This record gives sequence, structure tokens and C-alpha cells, in this order.
Amino acid sequence: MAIVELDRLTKRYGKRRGIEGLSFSIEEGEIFGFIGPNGAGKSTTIRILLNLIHPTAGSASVFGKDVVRQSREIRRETGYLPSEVHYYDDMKAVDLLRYSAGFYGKLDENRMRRLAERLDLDLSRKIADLSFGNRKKVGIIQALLHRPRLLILDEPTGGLDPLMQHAFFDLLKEEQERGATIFFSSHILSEVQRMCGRVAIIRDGRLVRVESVSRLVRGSYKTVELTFAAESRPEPVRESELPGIIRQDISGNIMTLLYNGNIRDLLDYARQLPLSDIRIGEPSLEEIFMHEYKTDEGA
Amino acid sequence: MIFRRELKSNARGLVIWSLVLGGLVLMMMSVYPSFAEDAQTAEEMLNVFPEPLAKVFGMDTLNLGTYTGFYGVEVHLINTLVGSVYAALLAAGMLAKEENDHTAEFLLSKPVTRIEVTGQKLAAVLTNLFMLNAVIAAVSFACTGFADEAVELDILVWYLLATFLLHVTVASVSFLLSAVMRRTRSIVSLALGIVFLSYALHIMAGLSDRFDFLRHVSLFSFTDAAAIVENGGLDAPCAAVMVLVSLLCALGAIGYYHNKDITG
Repeated sequence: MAIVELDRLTKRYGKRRGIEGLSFSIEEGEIFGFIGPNGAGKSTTIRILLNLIHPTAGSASVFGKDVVRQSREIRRETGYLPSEVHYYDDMKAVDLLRYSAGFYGKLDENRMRRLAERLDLDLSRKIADLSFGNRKKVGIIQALLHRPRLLILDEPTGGLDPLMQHAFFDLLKEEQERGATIFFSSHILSEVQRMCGRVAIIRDGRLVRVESVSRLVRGSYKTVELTFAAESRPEPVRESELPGIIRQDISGNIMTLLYNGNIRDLLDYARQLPLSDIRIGEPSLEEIFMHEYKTDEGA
Repeated sequence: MIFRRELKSNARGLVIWSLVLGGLVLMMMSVYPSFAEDAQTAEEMLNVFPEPLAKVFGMDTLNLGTYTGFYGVEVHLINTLVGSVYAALLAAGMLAKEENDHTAEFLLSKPVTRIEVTGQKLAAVLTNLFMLNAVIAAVSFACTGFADEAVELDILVWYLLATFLLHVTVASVSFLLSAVMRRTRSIVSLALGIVFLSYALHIMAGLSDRFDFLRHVSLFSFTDAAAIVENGGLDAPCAAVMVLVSLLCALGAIGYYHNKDITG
């Protein structure tokens, strides 16, 4: 059964862009990624699923229930971690979690303590005194505490250091093993690649495509920034010299490449250049979209 | 859940406002025995006031030599005005603070309906107002001990009822603003603006006969002590208007919030 189903879901905010005609579905037990640049409409979609905002057209259902009419029943079995966590400053972390748990019934004190331990969070601290990362941990526990069937995570890793991200991903794997479905929104390709089986890609409020992560990874893009020694000038690279260059920019003595060729070829080629520095990084989704999906839109 | 949370987080404010208002009532009424003792001084004091001003404060109708008369001139205005400020501040933030502080996203993702949220918050406002008014009433009744004469308790009860009804009306209007608008600060300004404008209209109505019609639009004229004494109670149409405004605002707030888009 589809846990989440969107049918031509549309939200328009006057002139501001919302989302337009989104349709896709998430199966039970999946970790489903939702990627797109900031402002693409990810949060708008999530807010509709939680009935925080009302759709302009189309419909969506969670657990087979309508998100507008049966929202309360949906929310009873859903855990939500917003991208920016804001809580009541007068509460301690433990007060917030008790308050939150009260909406679902009985608080599982053991589970709360265990989650706090796993994430290394001191529950007796006041929320106002917590750092952004620690507040995020409160948000994670708040979302997981009542063992939801569906977890909706909006940019969940922001503010978490790498060690905590690891602990968090482990928790998510355990939730999945428990049978939970996870809807994971992000603009960071690598974490989606790591966690998710399938992803929906959204851009400018429209669905670009839904595909499996393994297919997405096949086109593994890198941004390469080559800094040339002061006296030398970079020359544009020809396709015959180094295949796999999607795009190149030269600015002063810095050359930037978007590259999806063989990494050894790249290193061999770079070895011959009079470089003072080289940086290989992950491109932003925006950069990939600009090239990979330009053709899709025309079609 | 929400009701309990709101009572708890507003408890400190309620205690402070109750102490202030209860203290003011006690302080003012403790002067009453020496006033009643020397009715002549009271008379003279009245003459010091220019006539229009005396009329504004109801001194032409109210007899400062009686408990309810003295209360009407010295205390009732404080109860209505200061209490209205409390009611406006309390209700103005009630819904909007969740959006203003971005906690709405947390609260509304819990399994509660919007109607439960507005309903429980409204109940918290009314409970707070009721408790404040209970303190005012308790002190006011206790202070009748200062009087030698038999106090007209029915008038005192009418004063207190009028005060409570006024507070509820102001709170309902502010609560509607809180549901419709998002920024707490502008709501507080607007709600307090309504309170003080209404009070100013009441003063103007008293100052000149030309502005007498303003009596029909100011909440403070509806609950004016002199009018209560003259009518022997709260004017029925005025009371009906306040009840109706309160109901419409409360229902409006619940209805509007039910369909409101909560954007981050």
C-alpha cells in the first residue's frame, strides 16, 4: 500500500511560486528522498501533508487518508522534524518532550532517555540555552518518540556535526527496520544517496523525475577547481584531452569544471598542469539540475 | 494539554496583575472610611473639580459618601481600564505567539485539530480573566468591611459583572486579531489602541453634550459606573452588544484559524 500519495498536488501563493501538479507515491517501509534546491517547494509539499497549509488544487493522502479531512488521524502516526526547530524558550528539553508526548498518549520515559543518550543530549538543559544542533536533537527525539509509522524529515541534518549525523542515520535505519516509512527532504545529494532507495527530484515547484538512487549515482558529478600558478593562464580544455567535462568556467587563474568522467583521467590530466592548488568537491544540486535536467524540461 | 500549558505559562502574569489590581482596589477603598466620616470634605472636594470633569467621572450621579458611589468613582474605572489592558495583552498573543515564535509548526503537527487549539486557548484566556475578576470581587467584597452603612451589594455585583463582561469583550476582539494576524507586536499595539480609543471616546462623550452619541460606541460608556447606578444595573442592549461581539469574535477566530495557512 502507498503510505504517501500525491495526486496533481498544487499550491499557489498569489504571485509567489508554490508547487504545481506534483504526483508521486511512497511505499511502506521505504526511505524516500525528496531533493531539490532551496525554494523548490519541498517544505511546501511537506506542510500540505501535515495540513499546515491547504492545497490550492489536487489532493494528497497519507495511510490512505485525506490530508485535509483526516489530518488529525494522520498526524497521530506521523513524526515531523521541521527544517528549523523552534520551541518554547521557557521549557527545558525534557518539558518539551513531555508536552509533545502528551498529545499521543502515554510517555515512554525509557525510550526518551535512550534516544537522548544516543544523541548525546542533556535533557535537563533549558531550550533557550541550547545550540542549534542540540535543539535539532530535541526535534529528532520529539519526532521519533511515539514510534510513528511515517517520519517526515525536512532537511534533518543541518546543524548536526558528522558524528551526530552518523548516530542519527543509525537511528533512522533502526526505525526503518521497525517498519517505519521515512520521507527525507534534503538539498544535499550525498546524504540522500547514502540513506534513500528512491528519490523524487523537484525544481521550481515541479517534479523533475522520480528515480532510484542507484541510477542517480551512476552520473557521479564532481566540481573541480583548479588554481593555476600565478604566472600561467588556464586554457580551455578540449573534449579530446579530457572527456567528461560538462561545463567549464575560467576566471583569472582559476578554472572550474563540472565533471562526470573517470577520476583517474582527471588526475592524470591535472598532473601536467602548472597548478598551485586543486579542489575536488560535490556540485550543488542546482549545478546538476542546470545541465542534467535542462533537456528534460524541453521534452 | 494546551489549556494546561497556557494556564501554567500565563500564571506569573496573572499573579502580578491580580496583586496590582487587588492592591489598587484595597488601597483606594481603604481611604473610604475617612471620606465617609467627613461628608462635607467630600462635598468640597467635588466642588474643586470643574463641572464637566466631574461629570466625566460620574461625580454628578454618584455619591462619594456611599460605598458604591465611592467605588464607582475611584475604583471601577481602574478595574475596567487596567483589566482591559491585561485582557488585550493576554489574548493578543495567545495564538499569534505560536506563529511569531515559529512554534506553530511544532504544535500543529501534533494530533490536535485547529478547533481544539483555538478552543483550548480561548478557554485559557477566559479562565485567566475569570480568576483576575474573582480576585477583584473578593477584595471588593472584603472592603465592604470599611463601610459603616449597609452597602448596596446589588450595585457592587453589577459593577463586577460589567467589568468581567468588558474584559471578555476586549479579550475576544484581541483573540480574533491574534488568529488573523501573525506579528505579536502589531497585534498588541492594535488591541491596546482599541482599548484606549474606546476609553478616549468615553471621556469625550462625557465632556460635551455634542459628543454624547459616542456613548453608543464606547465599551467604557457601556460599563460606566454612573450609568449602572442610574439604571440600577447594566443596560440590557449594551450587555447584549458585548455578548454578541464576544461570540462573533470568538467564532470568527476559530473559523479563520481553522483554514489558516501556517507558513514558516
